[in-house]
Amino acid sequence: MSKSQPSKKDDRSSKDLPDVSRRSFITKAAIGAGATAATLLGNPKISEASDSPENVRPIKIPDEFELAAKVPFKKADFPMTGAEVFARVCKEEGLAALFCCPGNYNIQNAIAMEGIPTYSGRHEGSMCHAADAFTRITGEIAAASGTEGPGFSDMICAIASANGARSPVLVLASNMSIRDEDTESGIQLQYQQPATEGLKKYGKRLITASRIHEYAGHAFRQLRSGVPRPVHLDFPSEVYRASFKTASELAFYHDKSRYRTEAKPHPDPKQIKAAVELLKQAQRPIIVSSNGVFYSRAWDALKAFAEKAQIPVVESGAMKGQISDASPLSANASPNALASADVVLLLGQYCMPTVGEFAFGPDAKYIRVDPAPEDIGRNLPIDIGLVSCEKAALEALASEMPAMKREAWLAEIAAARKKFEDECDSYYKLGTGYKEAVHPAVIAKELSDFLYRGDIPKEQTTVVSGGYGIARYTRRFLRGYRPGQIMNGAYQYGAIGPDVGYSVGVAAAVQNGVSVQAPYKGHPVVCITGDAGFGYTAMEMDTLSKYRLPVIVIVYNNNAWGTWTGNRGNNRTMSIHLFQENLRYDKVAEALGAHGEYVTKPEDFTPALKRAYAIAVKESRPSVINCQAKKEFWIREQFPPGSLGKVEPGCMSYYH
Amino acid sequence: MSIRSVAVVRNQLQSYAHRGVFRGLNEQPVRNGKYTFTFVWLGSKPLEFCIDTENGTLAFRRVLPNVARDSHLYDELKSFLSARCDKALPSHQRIDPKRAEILSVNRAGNVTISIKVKNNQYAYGMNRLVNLVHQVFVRLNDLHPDYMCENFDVPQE
Repeated sequence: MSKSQPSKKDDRSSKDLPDVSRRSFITKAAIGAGATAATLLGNPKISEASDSPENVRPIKIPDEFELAAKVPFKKADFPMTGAEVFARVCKEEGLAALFCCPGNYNIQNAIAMEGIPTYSGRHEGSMCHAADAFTRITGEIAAASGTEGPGFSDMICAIASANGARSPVLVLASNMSIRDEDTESGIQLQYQQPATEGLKKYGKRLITASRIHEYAGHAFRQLRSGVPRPVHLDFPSEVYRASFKTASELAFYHDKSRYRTEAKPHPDPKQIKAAVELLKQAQRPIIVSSNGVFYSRAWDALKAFAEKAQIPVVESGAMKGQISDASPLSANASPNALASADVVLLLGQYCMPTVGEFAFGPDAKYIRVDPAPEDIGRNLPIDIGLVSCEKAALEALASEMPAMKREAWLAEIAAARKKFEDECDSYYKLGTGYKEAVHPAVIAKELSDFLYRGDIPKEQTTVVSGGYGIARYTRRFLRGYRPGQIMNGAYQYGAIGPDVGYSVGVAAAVQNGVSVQAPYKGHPVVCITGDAGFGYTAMEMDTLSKYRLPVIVIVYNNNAWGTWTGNRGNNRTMSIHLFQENLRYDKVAEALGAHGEYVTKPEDFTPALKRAYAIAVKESRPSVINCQAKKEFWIREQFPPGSLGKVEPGCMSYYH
Repeated sequence: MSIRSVAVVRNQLQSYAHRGVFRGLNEQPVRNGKYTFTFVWLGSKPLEFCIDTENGTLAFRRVLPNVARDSHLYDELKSFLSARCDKALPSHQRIDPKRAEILSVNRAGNVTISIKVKNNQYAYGMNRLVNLVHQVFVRLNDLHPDYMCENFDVPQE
């Protein structure tokens, strides 16, 4: 059946459609999933019916959102429920945000009533990704909550991603009742803790109501010490509904100063001396700054040590910006110089690469600083291991290290940076020559020009650096000028699709000016993703819209999964990797209350970006810029430079 | 090439193994004046390192599989290898043509990268060759991710 010849059934459908825009929208959405979608979506009669003025009802944020902002917070006090006791601990521990879908009601409501910013989205997995992202660009703890079995199991991919990123995410889920365990009475019971085995630092199904405060303390002790990873608590109804008239009914009811310490491990002075000796003798030392530098808020100590010792810094990890890329000591964009390093100081590299995954040469010696001694020496053999908080180690190193000069080495770093940037510019020139669609180099270069070389202060915009193939280009052009500026996508777990979910968490942090985002409070956020990824979390455009989170989501739309190249020449399997062509993700965004742009020519990208940015500033509304590309851009022989890879660590790094 | 020179190279290989850079270093029986070592280093597949005492070469044999002779990848590889002697490179990245000569051979799509040592500079040649192969892999990961995925199981994101 061709699109131009609708069937009688289709005609009848269009005539019979009721004059209710919501219903016609749903009809469109429903049939869009079916085989007849192309025909019906192309039927002008349906379009006329649904878009006629009498049918158009404006998308509206319910009044309850404004009312909610006016409700005063309530500090829970005895008598308290188990949920309120738990929420009280969260408040006192400084839980910075909660991301959830409705469910686990008692816990999430108690947390919201305590005044902890609470965001409700469309999928628990996306909300858990949001909590992960929030944590990664603020250093503060965020929680994700889902209901019972289904809401919890929706979060599994996000918990795994947070685990790979070593994020201190607090995962909360209700879990039916103790009295009905093993009965399958009612619905949704799941043994949750086994499902997060290997994906968490600590987990517990709470079964003794009077110990809820104690276990809340366990959770935060784990989240705030050593190398962070997710903590997962599941609550049966007997626990969150329990009632406590006084503190005496709670076991282990102590202030946090009694159940955990703020003390951090400090380095052994002998090991510091040994490290300094090695660094003094080195001709071309380099520092790898990773998660631990961010979480220990050691960027000033990093800068002071690097400047005194004249040691270049290259970043890896789940977030970037600990060293400003404006500094001559930044080696983030100097991949060709990494092989020259003779001593590598790994700082807070929680997710360790194996031999050969980092670009340092086979003769490089390694000093590793990590708060967890059990991890030092794993994967990458060391020459010196320092058990320490990263900040304490940097301060000790700076104290012991004499001022050094390394002009030749810094000149090599600068020359490598110049070569790399020239190479990136050459990709852009190639990309602008492809007129039939938008090449990824055009997006990458022009986005970086807009963010760093235009009217916006270069340190202002926080970026969710996601996507798959597009990321191989954008990472080459993105730069960090302050801590928490770049959220490094799905990172080591490599999930496709969390990006819009991530942007909810990042934008919530920026909207509230949390931690290092404070100077950039309320400014627009940029999110980069692909068409495959957008499909997973696109409904969170509604979440961004309803909370007025001004995220500009750039969708690289090449009509295919990034995996298609491995199936070239195989007609049987190729279609597995393809979508319908020219899909209108911008229209999806518009239908969800956001602004939409559809860019099909390279010269139209920057104007669309400017329009989206203006809307973000003036209306605090999110946008989708749907950049129509073509999958063949990954074929080097036809469209050089084709699909690109990466060098780690540095601006391209992603796995570690 | 003397037994002493072989010992120099062997010691260097063992040094890399002791430092944890090479894993599972294993020396094969000598055949026709060729000393062969296998070890795991870049990726999970064992690499084969050969000392040819007759012509004074050190080689990573068949280090890159499935490289067509007429491919862009092979052209780029040859250009990259020849540029390693460029005087513009820092001395620690450069291969001094007075001390060693870079060779590459493509037999049935299997590329061998080797160094012909000059003036008995085996320690130098060994060090340069190991660093050279490392850089080749870095470059392939940078510019040819599909090749690395198909041939070395480097994961795609």
